[in-house]
Amino acid sequence: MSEIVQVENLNYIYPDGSKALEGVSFRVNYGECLGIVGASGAGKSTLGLCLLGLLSAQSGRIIIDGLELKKETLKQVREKIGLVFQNPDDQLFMPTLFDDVAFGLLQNGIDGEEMEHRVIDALKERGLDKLAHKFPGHISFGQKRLASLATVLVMKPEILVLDEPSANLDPRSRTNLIKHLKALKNTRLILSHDLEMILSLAHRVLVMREGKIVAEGEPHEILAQKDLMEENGLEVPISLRLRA
Amino acid sequence: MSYHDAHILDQYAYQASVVHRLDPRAKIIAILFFVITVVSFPKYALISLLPFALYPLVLVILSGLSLRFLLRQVLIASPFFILVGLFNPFLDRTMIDVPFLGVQVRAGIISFASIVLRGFLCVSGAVLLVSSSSFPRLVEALQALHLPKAFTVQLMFLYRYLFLLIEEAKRMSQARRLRSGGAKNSFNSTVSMLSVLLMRTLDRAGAIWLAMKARGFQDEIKTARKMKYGFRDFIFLLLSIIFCLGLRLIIFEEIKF
Repeated sequence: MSEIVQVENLNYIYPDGSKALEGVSFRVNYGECLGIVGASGAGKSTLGLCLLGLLSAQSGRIIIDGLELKKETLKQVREKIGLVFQNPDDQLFMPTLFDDVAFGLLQNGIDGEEMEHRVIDALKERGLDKLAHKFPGHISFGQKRLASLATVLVMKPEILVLDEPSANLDPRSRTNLIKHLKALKNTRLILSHDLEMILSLAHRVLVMREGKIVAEGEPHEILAQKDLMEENGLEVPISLRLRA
Repeated sequence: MSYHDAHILDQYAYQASVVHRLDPRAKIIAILFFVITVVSFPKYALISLLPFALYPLVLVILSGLSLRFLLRQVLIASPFFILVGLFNPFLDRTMIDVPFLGVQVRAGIISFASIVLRGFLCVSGAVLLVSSSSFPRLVEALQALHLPKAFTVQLMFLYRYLFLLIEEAKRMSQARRLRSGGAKNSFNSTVSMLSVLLMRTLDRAGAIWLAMKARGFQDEIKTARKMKYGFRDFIFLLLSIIFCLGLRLIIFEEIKF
């Protein structure tokens, strides 16, 4: 089996009646990095929450590594897929960075030396080991972003969903984050409207508008289409404009 | 409490004095015992309460905190306990003899002074507790002392998001000031700002809940650190109990005030 994520005809309507996802279908291969782009409100974040079963779609199917997402399989699915939220302050809720990174492991019954090793390794790989016992509220935004990535990667998920990972980052922190994301071997779904980042990371890209997928293909081909980008509230990345 | 005050309390909590190094469970039980002893005195007790000031005084010295800092924090809380006893001098007009001075004063004045002194002592104890242990450690200690999980989880989040909430309120207030042309806050604008702050808080609470669920949260926050209760903690608790019980039961048993 080469597909790790299968989404079939997914529909989600918010309690206020607004349609967030409409007939969304796509597949992701093992180890692939898929960029999902679209303007704000296109339904990217809702899709991310649905993939983890944090929002229950009214219809459609989600299959993660052969497991269909249902109430009974929720725990197993969440062990396979990790979500990095748009705002790291939502993800860092414990008193120290160490506790935050350890949180998921402890909840899943992993403690003692194994927990400690995994937490230290996850922090070290992101250059945060010296901040392990710091209060997450007192570190920079770029460090918070890397820390929220560590809280998910420590669980060793096969699939990583990142919701607007470069939002609010200064240029250096953004470059640092892209370097970290590039080094990952996991299957990655990046939900973003930072098209330059998508261009440098994604193998394939989906364009979303008003809850629907309107285009799919190679990033260099899709993101270079001026009309398509403008129709969807996006802009051709500067690097592609300069090349043209 | 201002943003600055919240940070100051936090900064003191991470020092390394002998009091800071004590197990927070020992400190919680000792301070609780101290508070219960202080409030257990009769309502006109005044002179009998004075020696209890020794306890926070010794802890301030041992913890390396400044007396000025302690007094400042107690003064911030003082309106609450002053308000509790404020009407006593008007309501309780019985005249009673003051020992050693040979004069008579209204009982209400004595009971008011007693409430203020008790408030001062109890708040001193509480301030010393939170400024000699980090708040997260205190919450872990409360969890270890088997307080309901719902309560300890709420406390943990209160601390974690207090700073964010204060910052959010500060930003909103700045934005209002910049657009108000120097006009003072009206009742209506204050109420609408508070309602927006509440909505933002609810949004944030929802997002945190999702982030916790995504990482397998059920109903208990499990932390990585283990508590160590040592001989030093035992001695501290024992001495605290002996001090409080000694003053309460033996030395001042016969003193009416």
